[in-house]
Amino acid sequence: MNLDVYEGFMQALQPLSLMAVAIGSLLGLTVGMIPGMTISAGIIIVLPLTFSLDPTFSISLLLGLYAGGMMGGSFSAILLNIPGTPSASATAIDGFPMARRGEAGRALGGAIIASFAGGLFSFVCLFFIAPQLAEVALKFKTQDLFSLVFFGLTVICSFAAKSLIKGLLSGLIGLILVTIGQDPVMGTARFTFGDVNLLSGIHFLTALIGLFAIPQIADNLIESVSGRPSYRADTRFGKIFPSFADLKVMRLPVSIGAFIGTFIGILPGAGGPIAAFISYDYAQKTSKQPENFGKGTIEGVVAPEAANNAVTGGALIPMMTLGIPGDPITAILIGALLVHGLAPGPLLFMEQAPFAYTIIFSFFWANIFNLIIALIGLRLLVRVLSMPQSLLLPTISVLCVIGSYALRNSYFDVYVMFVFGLLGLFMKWFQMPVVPLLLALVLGKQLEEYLRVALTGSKGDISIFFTSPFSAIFLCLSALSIVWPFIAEKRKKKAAALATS
Amino acid sequence: MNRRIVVPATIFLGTSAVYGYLTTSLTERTLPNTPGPSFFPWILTVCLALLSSALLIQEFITSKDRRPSLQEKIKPKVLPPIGLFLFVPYLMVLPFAGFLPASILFFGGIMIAAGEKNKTIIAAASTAIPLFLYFLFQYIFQIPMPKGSMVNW
Repeated sequence: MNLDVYEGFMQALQPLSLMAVAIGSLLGLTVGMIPGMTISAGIIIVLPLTFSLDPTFSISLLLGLYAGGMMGGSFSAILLNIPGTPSASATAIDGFPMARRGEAGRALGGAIIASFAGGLFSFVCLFFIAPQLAEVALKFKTQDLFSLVFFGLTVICSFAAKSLIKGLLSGLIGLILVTIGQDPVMGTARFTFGDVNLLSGIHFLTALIGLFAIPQIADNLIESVSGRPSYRADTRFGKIFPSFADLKVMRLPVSIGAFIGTFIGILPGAGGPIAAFISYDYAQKTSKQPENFGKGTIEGVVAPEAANNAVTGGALIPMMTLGIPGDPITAILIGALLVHGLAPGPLLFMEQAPFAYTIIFSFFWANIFNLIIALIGLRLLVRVLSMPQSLLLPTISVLCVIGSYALRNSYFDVYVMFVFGLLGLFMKWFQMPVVPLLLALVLGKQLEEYLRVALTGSKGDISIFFTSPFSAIFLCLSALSIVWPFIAEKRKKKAAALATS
Repeated sequence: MNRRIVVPATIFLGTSAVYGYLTTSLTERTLPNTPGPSFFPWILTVCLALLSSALLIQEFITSKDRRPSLQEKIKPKVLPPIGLFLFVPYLMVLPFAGFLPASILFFGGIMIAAGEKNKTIIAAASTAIPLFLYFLFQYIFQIPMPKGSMVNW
């Protein structure tokens, strides 16, 4: 066995690493289950802790939370018809009717097993694909890297928003905010207005806390004031572990979900909800009894669940090998790595190979712990659904302040966090997606650096972006990602016109 | 005309003008054939102006044909959450009072804003939870907590 793989495996097997993963899984399952609490909010809660922990433990904790959150979202979707996370929306379609029929245990058990299988499949893909992709990425020149980052940004902008222009505008605002501080090539101060706090720029973790937590707190406060219903799930849901007959039925939809989820996870910006709905659709098309879908069938529960958990491993592939986050959570993982002086990208597999494999194996353990904790502690976990918002909201609010202050021990960051919170509210009101903005904050500096270095190398000749094969491919894909929403819209209109005629 | 399109598009158009103006004042340290510090901001200025104009034009063209949907007609009024305004005094007081005194008051305020009416629960939770968080981060995880200039907590 490769020595790096062995070292990574042993590192992930350390008792403290395993404990971090287990705590992360427990937190993830809990947070994912609570309606109105997203996985991003859960990560914000533990973010301050990760600053003081060893990088291995920090990443293990965050990975546990990421995978656990995806699984936890299905519990409230099945029991209450309220998806804990957007990725669990498709699970509710068949999960809730099953629960109403008195088959909640069967649906929950199926969801747990499918989530585990999806996560495990994506781990296998991560383990085999990531090192190979990193080797290819090492051959990239500066112009290729620019085009790759550009592709990552355009695809996120077109996937994340209903309106492509709004998505691109959100990304542009992020890029503008990145230009605050020293420029990445010459170190010249830009847009700092003489303030020393702005010299090092805006830390994207501060921005992230504000963008995600403040609008969520605002939403939950509005709900609380306007009389939010109290969530109380029935914990008498019988046997959880699926029967042999159910396992047999589950094989095909789980395989479809795992494959689609991993593939969509690799695409930046697509994410869990898209993967879940596509696999639900495919599972219905390939089912022997498609008419049962929507009425409460186990196939309709397991296909989206396998898919949304497979997305997690898929999303880790571009994050680890190319340094491109596919969603806010992988962006946070990049941030957590950067805080510890580790830069994700192809060099991670060359310079810190054992650590890269530790991440991969921690993800494996996260799936194992999710399965164990969910199967053993489900009855206890669902009691969290009745946790009062009046305790949850102030705790998150205070943790937002701690998280942003602890990053650089600066009140300035706390104010920046709040300003970004207001920006998040503004964007929400104007129906603009925040994900492109956040990912532009992560990738913006690299984008500018690669562009300027490539142009300096070519003495201002822009044809290098089209003559390099890798760069040309990425630019074509970027163009396709921009044009695709228009084509899809046109096809949709054509289909609608045909249907009415 | 949809306000949710016209307002942000106008704001972004204004932002592009201000950003472009600020870009003109950037110091140039350009070597021959090398893009300087203002190169990237200029690209962003142009893109922002183009995209916000495109958004405005698109809205002008499509709003004539579009009838407001039922959902748009009965748009629910979004109340500004009062609890969120508590952040302003909290963040102002924090540097002077320090984490604990400021957070205890803020915590209680948010609890009330979230609909909690039981005074005993408010008093107990708003004291116990910030205290727990303070000791957890300051002493167990060794993460320095915000210290006040007046009270050293």
